[in-house]
Amino acid sequence: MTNLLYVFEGMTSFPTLIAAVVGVLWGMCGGALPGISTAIAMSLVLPFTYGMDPSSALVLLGSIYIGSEYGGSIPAILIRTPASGSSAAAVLDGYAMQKQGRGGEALGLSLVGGTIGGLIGLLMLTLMTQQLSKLALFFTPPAYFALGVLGLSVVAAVSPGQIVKGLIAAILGLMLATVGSDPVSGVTRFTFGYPELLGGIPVIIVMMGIFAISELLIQARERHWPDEVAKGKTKLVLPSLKKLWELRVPQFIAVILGLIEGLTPGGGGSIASFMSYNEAKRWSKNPEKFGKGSEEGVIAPETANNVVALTALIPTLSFGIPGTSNAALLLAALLIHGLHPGPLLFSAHPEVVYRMFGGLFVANIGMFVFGILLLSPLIWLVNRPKAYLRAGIFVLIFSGVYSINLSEFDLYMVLAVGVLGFLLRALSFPYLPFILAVVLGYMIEANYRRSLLITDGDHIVFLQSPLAVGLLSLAALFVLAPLYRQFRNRKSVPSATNDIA
Amino acid sequence: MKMNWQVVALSSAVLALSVPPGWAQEKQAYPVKNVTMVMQSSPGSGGDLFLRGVSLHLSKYIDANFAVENITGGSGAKAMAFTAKAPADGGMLMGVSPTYINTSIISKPPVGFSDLQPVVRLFLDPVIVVVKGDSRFKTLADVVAEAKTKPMGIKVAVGEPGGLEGQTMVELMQKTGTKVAVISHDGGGDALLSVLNGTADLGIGEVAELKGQLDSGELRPIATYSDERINGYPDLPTAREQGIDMVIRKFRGIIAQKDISPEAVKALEAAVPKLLEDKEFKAWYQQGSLIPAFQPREEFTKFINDFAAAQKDYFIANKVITQ
Amino acid sequence: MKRSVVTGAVLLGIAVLYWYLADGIPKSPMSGSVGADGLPKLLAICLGVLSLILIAQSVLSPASEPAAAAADVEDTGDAEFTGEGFFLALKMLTIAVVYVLILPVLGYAASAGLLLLAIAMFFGRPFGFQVLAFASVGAVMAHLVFVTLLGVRMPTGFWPSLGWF
Repeated sequence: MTNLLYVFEGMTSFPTLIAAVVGVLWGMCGGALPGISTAIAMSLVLPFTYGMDPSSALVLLGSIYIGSEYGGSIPAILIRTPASGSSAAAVLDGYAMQKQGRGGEALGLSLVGGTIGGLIGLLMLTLMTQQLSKLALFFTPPAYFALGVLGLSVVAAVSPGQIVKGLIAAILGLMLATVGSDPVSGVTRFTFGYPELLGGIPVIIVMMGIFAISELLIQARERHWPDEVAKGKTKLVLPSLKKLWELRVPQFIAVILGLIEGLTPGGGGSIASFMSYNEAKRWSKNPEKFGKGSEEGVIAPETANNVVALTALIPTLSFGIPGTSNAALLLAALLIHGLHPGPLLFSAHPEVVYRMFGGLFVANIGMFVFGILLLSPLIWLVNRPKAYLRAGIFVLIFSGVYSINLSEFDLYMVLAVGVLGFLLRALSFPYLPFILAVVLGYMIEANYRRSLLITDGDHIVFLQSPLAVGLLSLAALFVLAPLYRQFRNRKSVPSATNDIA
Repeated sequence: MKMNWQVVALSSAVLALSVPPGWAQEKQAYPVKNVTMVMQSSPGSGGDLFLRGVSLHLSKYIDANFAVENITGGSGAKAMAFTAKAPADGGMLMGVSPTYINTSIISKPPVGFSDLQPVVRLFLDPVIVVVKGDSRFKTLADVVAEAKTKPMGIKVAVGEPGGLEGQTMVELMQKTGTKVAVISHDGGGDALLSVLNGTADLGIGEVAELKGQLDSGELRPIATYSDERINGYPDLPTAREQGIDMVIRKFRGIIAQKDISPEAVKALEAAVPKLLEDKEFKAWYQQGSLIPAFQPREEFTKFINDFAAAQKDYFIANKVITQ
Repeated sequence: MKRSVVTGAVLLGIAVLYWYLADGIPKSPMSGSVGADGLPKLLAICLGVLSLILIAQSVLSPASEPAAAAADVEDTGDAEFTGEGFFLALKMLTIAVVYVLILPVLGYAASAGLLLLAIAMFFGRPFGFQVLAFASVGAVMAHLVFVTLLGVRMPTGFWPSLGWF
């Protein structure tokens, strides 16, 4: 009961309230700028949390996390420029909707999905942290490998005519993911002597290249339509309750995957949002709409990354293991205030923890309100003449990428990935397999090899974890089912059309 | 990302909540007013926390403002190049851990450890061996005994591949003639989870990141690779006491440009010992069981050179590098 | 030569090169039974096989190719890319590369302004007061956001050496 009182205090006391509002607003604005990652937006204010009381400090940082996860989707949907890895999945259908003049709807779905995801995540965090933290323990290396394979298995679902090209795209993505230090031994691979490549090619650079730069290169041929202004509504459109109920399946999927990715350290927002996109497509009644402006394809990843922003705090608080690198900053704030996360934190300092939960509730509501206020002007902004808009996007991408590592090398890297993305698209390779492979490649390889270390090279390790067996069987089913269907169709109808999506 | 702290124009309300620092002590003169301390890892990492802790308290003893900048990328290669390029007036320092030596040796970046001047060493991070609370292992000797009967039977979780923790296990295997499976992870947190869920039988880590689990008894320390027993764990024997002659010196220190201003060095050499005695700072670093291990420039330089030579031998012996 | 045959040949080349690079990865006793080169070599083989299939497909069934290609394009408008499209993309890429080259020389704001000007004109805006105003206002805004507000250390270029500041 006292805990509930603390939650209420967190929602009403002045310092936490201010921290929540300022944090979420700064997070949304910072998060919307490419290159200003959540971690950077958080670390910019970290010095100011030293002097604050612990709950306000945590609320401030947590609110930035929440706001930033949402903010990143704004440029992803409006200008196909994902500001962070976790918002990149929103490009797929969000930008497709924007091109159809439904950008306001996409942003509405993203905002409401994010708010719902955040509130559900907060509920899980508040009520079930201790229980859910046990769930993280099931994700051993074999299980995590299996989860990655399940995510990648969606590659098999591209249409039969594209299967070779889809596989090639996936392999190219996996190749890109092998650049950098080897996940098991630490030896360098494919770095060509550039120390910049030691840590691998950052996901955000891949996303900016593959989505934003490739789009600009594709649009280069549209130079003869100089004065066109994007048509369509220039207002934010919130989804109705009826619509939200129709979209319950993708949201449910997003909550589950967001929870898993938040709980386990190796994952994070980008894996959660892409996996949610995959599964939403797989379980959808209208999978053919995905990639062409599907509402399910927007709400699933957008709900997932906001779930992660809160569930990542579960292992942070209960184990002292940050679920994502952003949650590590919250951990930092805890440590600076002399609080040691772990099983004892909840009993030793309930007031700090539960006040923080209260503050984060305010932040979620604040995000919704600010979203409504901020989005309409932004939609207006991107409906300017295209020549100016595209020039502005170029400057935004380059400024953002440069600010990550202050490196011209990164600028060349984003251009190179952009050219690769352009070639994939111009030669009509499906590029979703490529992106999935980049996002999941490291996780699959690292955990595969870690698993084999456990048994000294024996593959039986994958059968020893029930979770791994379940996930791998599911993946096998998803790969084999379309092949079987195709095989049967071909037998019965010799001239089968290839529209089994 | 580099940042000065102007952002806070956005959050003046937050500013109002912060407390001004104390002014009581007498301060060392310093050649410049604003000092940037470069950190190669991202905000929130262990190294970043260390440097932020130092920058927070150092201005009590030195007449300058200290701010931390995270210059990530290339496992420190970028930060080293950035630091070396800056004017040597004391305005740009870099906080380091063994990573910068390893990166210099393994990937041979244009600017390496030998192009920079060690200034002061502050701490040694005790590296400890932990097991799950209910583990069959009580001592490191138990582990070695079982490893002798079951080669590759014991699984050890360590942090990043190529890090000091993994190296600890390789040395242990070589010293005792045993073989265990060393499983590297993406970081300390990941490795900790593997110990908690039983994937690994033991883990190697730093007290600071394991503290919560150690306090609650979910994890139990069985040895520390330090010279002496560590603060907060008086009953935890060192590896040496258990008959394994190994000490791991995971240092934390400050380095700068080759021709760093002598006044800046003098100020730091004078201020750091006082800082290590500072009551608030002490409370902060003792929680992480950091061992204060001050060394002035001359000694620290020798320490770094010896350390680097040992690392190089190790990498060559284990075929990480060729010559 | 058909486009997909060329694509297949290039991919085959990448596979061979990648194998060669993977073979040069140092062998570490820490890398386990699969080794640091395990996955890369597997990928190289798969890519090699798939690129051969791609070539074979287009040689054997020339007619069906465009239809199959257009079947599952994620974004509308990506299909049927013409030679002119490639040329224009190359032109835009050149502008981008020039920007990266002049960035350390001219500094952030000036380069950003020139980039804005170049891209706006590339998309058909005539040179004149309007684009110049757009480029200079845009450059100032970019400087205000990234340098003044966020404190990113953008390249200053040669300006400080003139000693005006």
